[in-house]
Amino acid sequence: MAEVFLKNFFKRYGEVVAVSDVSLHIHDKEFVVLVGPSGCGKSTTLRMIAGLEDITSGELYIGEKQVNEVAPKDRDIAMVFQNYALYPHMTVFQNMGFGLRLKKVPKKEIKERVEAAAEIVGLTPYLKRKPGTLSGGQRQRVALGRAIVRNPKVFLFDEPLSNLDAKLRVQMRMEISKLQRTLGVTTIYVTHDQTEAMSMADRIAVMKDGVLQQFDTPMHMYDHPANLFVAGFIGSPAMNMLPGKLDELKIFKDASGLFTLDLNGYLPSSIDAGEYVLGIRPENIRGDNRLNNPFYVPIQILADVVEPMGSDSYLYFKIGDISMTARLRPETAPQEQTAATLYIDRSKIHFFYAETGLNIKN
Amino acid sequence: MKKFLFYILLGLAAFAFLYPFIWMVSASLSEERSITDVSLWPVALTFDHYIKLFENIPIAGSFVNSVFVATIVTFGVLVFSSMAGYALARHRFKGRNLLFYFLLFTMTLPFQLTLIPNYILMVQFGWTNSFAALIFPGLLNAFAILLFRQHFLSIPQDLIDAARIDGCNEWRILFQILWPVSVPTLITVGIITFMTTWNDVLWPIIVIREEHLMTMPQLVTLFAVGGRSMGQIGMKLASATLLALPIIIAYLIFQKHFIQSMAASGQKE
Ligand SMILES: Nc1ncnc2c1ncn2[C@@H]1O[C@H](COP(=O)(O)OP(=O)(O)OP(=O)(O)O)[C@@H](O)[C@H]1O
Ligand SMILES: [Mg+2]
Repeated sequence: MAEVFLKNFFKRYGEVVAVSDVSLHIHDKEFVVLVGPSGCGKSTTLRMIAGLEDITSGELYIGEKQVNEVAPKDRDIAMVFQNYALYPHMTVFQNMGFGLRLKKVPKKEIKERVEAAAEIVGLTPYLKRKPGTLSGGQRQRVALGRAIVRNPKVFLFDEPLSNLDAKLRVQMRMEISKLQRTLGVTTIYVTHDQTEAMSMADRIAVMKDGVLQQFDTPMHMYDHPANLFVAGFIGSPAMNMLPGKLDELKIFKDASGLFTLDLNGYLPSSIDAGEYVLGIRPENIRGDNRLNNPFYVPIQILADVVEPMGSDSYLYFKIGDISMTARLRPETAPQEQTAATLYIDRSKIHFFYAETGLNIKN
Repeated sequence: MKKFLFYILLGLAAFAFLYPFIWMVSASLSEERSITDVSLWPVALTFDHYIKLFENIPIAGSFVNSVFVATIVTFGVLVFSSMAGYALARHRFKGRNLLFYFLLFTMTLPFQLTLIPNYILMVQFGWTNSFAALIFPGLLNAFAILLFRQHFLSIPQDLIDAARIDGCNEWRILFQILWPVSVPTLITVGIITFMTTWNDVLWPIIVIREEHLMTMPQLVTLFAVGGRSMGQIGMKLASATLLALPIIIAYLIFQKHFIQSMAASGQKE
């Protein structure tokens, strides 16, 4: 088993800088998810780890060994792709055993290892079938089996669930997590879906425009986003963000001037007056204050749209020009198009410098 | 009713296309003096023309020559053009686009333009009057490279990456992973190459002088227009029939792919 260490990774395609100075120290047996919007360089980073792209500059260690110049097949990695990437002309058995065959592993051992892997991913009855006759979920299981058979030091996944329907995705998500825990293989998993990232990762690496934004555990990242981008990307519905000004008395006033919030005692005393962005997660806006919680501040709003989700209701409203979302207990949700009082939990607010987007607590 | 008329029209058209061909076959089986008939059935059935043909010229040998040359060229084109197509589609290297445009450019040149330079090249290599002159110039083909390139572009990169991680080198990727998923393109290129090579007359006439090295179309053409047929239409027709036969048989075997590849040669796949 192995640690993976990316040191100052850069990838340039001519003028385009696809990955810029990414460093990640991934522990043995850790499940790390690379997440970010389309085009942020996740796949490129993963493909550099796999050896499918040259590393423009930087160093890559798998285990103790520097592997920059090592061929993909000798890096002791296995990769699962979004489009399954199965060999259509080979049976499931041949697909899973192909790598071992090329390594000249004895036939008998190939058979044992393929059958063991097929057992793990539940494909034993399908070993003689061609991929074309399997469903999407089954195909991705074959790809998973092919990765397991190699018995690698590192699993690499590039959006393996994107082609599956929602229900199957949730199921496979759990299976992959469980599998990774049982096998104890260091895993790097790329997705653009923050829910997948939150639910699977030991640690999440958020990227944007080729730059690593934050590398942290899901909960710590959720509670302490390093900057506005991470704050907006992690969490669904997304964090509400209100740009505005803080005065000397630590009173925050939004851009429209209609909304004020007394933050005295809720911000570090060292913070100066100036331009800031206030971040409030939807669940930190409440529909009532029955316990008279002193952190809660009432605000008057006009309820725009209410979306009942069953366990919660999402309430959409506006402060000035800014669209806001509150996640309320259904019984506390107001009627649509009525005036209502909501409560902001000041103990849970996030505060960012307007200029840099950085969290003031960094 | 409309449909009925339509089919009659189609039938007439088909007949118009088939008639000369059927006539050729039946006339080649008729006695010389009845050939001027327009009959679709052999008049006074005889195999004389064929027998005389085999006595007069080494047509069986030329058939073997043709099969040999066309097979090697076809196989060569499949191997080398798919290699070039793969490189152009899937490898990044300096000058790739330039090379590709250059390739397209060569396709716009009429072959008459390169005929003389190619011939001089063959003379310099000392390949005239040998199979080398028939085989080597045909081994790479811009059109085939183009078809392969376009096809390989449509194959997901993931498949190639997966193969690379499994330990395939470029040879294996091309021949063990890409070829099996490219059978229609291989057949298309194969059929087109085989047919063009088989039917080619001009180039063999230029580089081959010796009868025992001649391809079938060359031999038949020289025979039919030259004096050797002793003015006998029957023998000319018999040689033409023999010449067409292999292509017809190939057509019957590959009928489905044949039509596809003819369509493909007119448009991007
Ligand atoms: N071969 C290439 N040539 C030039 N630019 C490239 C190449 N491959 C990727 N890029 C650029 O590098 C950047 C990162 O691409 P990458 O595929 O890593 O994004 P990604 O985060 O995986 O996005 P997605 O979620 O869409 O898969 C993009 O801006 C892309 O346009
Ligand atoms: Mg990607």
